[in-house]
Amino acid sequence: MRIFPSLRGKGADDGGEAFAMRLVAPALLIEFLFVFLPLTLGVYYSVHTVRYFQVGAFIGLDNYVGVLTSPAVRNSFVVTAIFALGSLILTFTVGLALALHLERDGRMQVFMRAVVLVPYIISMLVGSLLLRWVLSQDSGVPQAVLGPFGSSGFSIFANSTSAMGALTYNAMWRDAAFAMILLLAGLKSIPLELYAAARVDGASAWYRFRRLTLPLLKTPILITIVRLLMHFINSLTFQLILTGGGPANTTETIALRTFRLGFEDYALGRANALSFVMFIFNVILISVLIHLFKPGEKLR
Amino acid sequence: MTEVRFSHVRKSFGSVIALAGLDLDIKSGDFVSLLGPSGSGKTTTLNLLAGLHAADSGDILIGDKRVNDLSPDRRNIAMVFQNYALYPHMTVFENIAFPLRARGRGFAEAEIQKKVKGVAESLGVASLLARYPKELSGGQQQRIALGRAMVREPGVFLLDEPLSNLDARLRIRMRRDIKALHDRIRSTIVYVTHDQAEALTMSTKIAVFDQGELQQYGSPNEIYHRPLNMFVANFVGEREINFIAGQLQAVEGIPTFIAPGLSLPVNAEERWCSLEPRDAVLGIRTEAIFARPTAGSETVGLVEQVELVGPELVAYVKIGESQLSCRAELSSELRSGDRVHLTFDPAHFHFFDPQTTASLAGSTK
Repeated sequence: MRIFPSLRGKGADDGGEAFAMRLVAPALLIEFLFVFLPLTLGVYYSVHTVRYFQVGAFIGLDNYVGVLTSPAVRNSFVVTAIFALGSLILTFTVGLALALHLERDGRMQVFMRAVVLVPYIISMLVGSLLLRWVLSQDSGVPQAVLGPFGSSGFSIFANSTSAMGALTYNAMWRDAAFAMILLLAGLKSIPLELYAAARVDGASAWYRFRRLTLPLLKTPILITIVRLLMHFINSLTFQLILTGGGPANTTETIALRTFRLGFEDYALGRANALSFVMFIFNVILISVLIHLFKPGEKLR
Repeated sequence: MTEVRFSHVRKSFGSVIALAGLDLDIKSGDFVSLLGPSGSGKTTTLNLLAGLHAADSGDILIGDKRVNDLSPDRRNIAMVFQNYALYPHMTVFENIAFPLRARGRGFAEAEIQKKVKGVAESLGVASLLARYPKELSGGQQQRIALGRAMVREPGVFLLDEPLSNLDARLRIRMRRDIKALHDRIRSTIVYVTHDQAEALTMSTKIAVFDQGELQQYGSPNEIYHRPLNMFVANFVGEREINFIAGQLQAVEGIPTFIAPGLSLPVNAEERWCSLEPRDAVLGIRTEAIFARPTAGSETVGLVEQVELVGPELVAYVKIGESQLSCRAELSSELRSGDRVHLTFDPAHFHFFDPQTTASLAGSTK
């Protein structure tokens, strides 16, 4: 007796295919409702004039031309690049340092791993609000630190450089733990014997890091970088809550610009055009990620 | 040519005493096996010697130098690990060259090439230099690990159960290869193993460990034929030794071992043999008891189990309260339930004190 009907192949009983379809139907439905439908709708909106949800005339690629030539959007591309790369470098470095530091399973290390995870597990919104308060001009750290030196008037969020600094700091503060987890998993998979062997072979700590840890961590490192990059390019919460894109739009990223186009200016056609451009970029990053997971790429 | 000396070396991990005061002298060119069950302190001894752990107290000397405070790379040693610890992202060539490059002592590239190739050729792996470790068989990986140790020409080789991951046949062949290697390079080798057969076949000296203490240190012959206590007697040998609790006493002027169902005359020339009766445990190996179906001795027992071991049989014979394993000829066709006569070889009797478990032969020396 066949318990599981054959799912493919000719000559299988007719019930097989239908049974298989029933199994995947819920997943397909969800995928259709929440991915395919919005995407199609988005593309549809992006080639029409849309004002306050009123779909107007078909205008071809005018929306795309419009957003890509807009100075505000161009500015947001530059801002996104600075924010994403800055956050990536900072977050990755701190994440790797944490992973290396907390790799051993001592009581202190296990405790500190949990502590480091706190910013990551609390809501992004709460975290950003918290940092906004901590960095505020009136009651925050700058006042407490700089006040005694007579510089009471400095506001972090009023200066474009320091605002961007605060933003990248927020990103690192939250996501370094995420990077740490990914890299820690990679570190744990390196046999300790290799380090013992390298020590006996006369390799210094730096040499061991450079010739053993880094190459053996290659795949986790690449995965971490791509994941972080995607996250930072698409993130909205940090900018929306912490800086609001200010001062003078110097921290307004593409995600925030899209949000504003859509939900403040109600230019849904343009907003969708811009988000579709981002979608394409994300697809490229995802294909890099999938490529990294390909079997045969890894040495271990 | 380098000798190694441990004196009063202690090491504990938390409340667990891993090594309780070790004294051990290893002569230059010796092949010493550290033998014992897991948790006996043999691996700790090796790691202390390698410098991967620090001793709590005592001195460790390599050559004439106290090395307690030296890092592993400055101890003139090389180590082969149980899982080989080959660097998976490097080719065989890079693996063997690693110790030369890691030290940053400026070996010229041509010199590295020459050394690596020389070592690879001597181990028969010269054709594998461009491969990665995962592309090699267990035996080949084993050779690469040896090659990586040899390339530095160290004073002392440390080998940590290097054969335990190989299958049984290959292990026996690698034993001979390693022994041949030792005969050729004549370096001091310290070899950790829990396999008594490896220790007996390869070493010039064996150190038997149990519960953090050195039980006996001697040549394989001494260890096998003159065990100093019941632990060594039982641990060394293909199968468990037979222990029979009984009494030593004089019967008609002849020292005799008496146990339920047994009365065995003992070689009178043994020095320890006073004629006062005393409790003793007789240890006797399977090969020193011979079972025959035909009459030949006074000692009679009942066969409970028979095993075929290649050229002969091993019979488990119930006698008195104990079960003894003994040899029997293949042609005797013993079956369980048969009555057999047992002959004992008095030359292979080992007597132990039932309280201290120490050998009676050793106690008066």
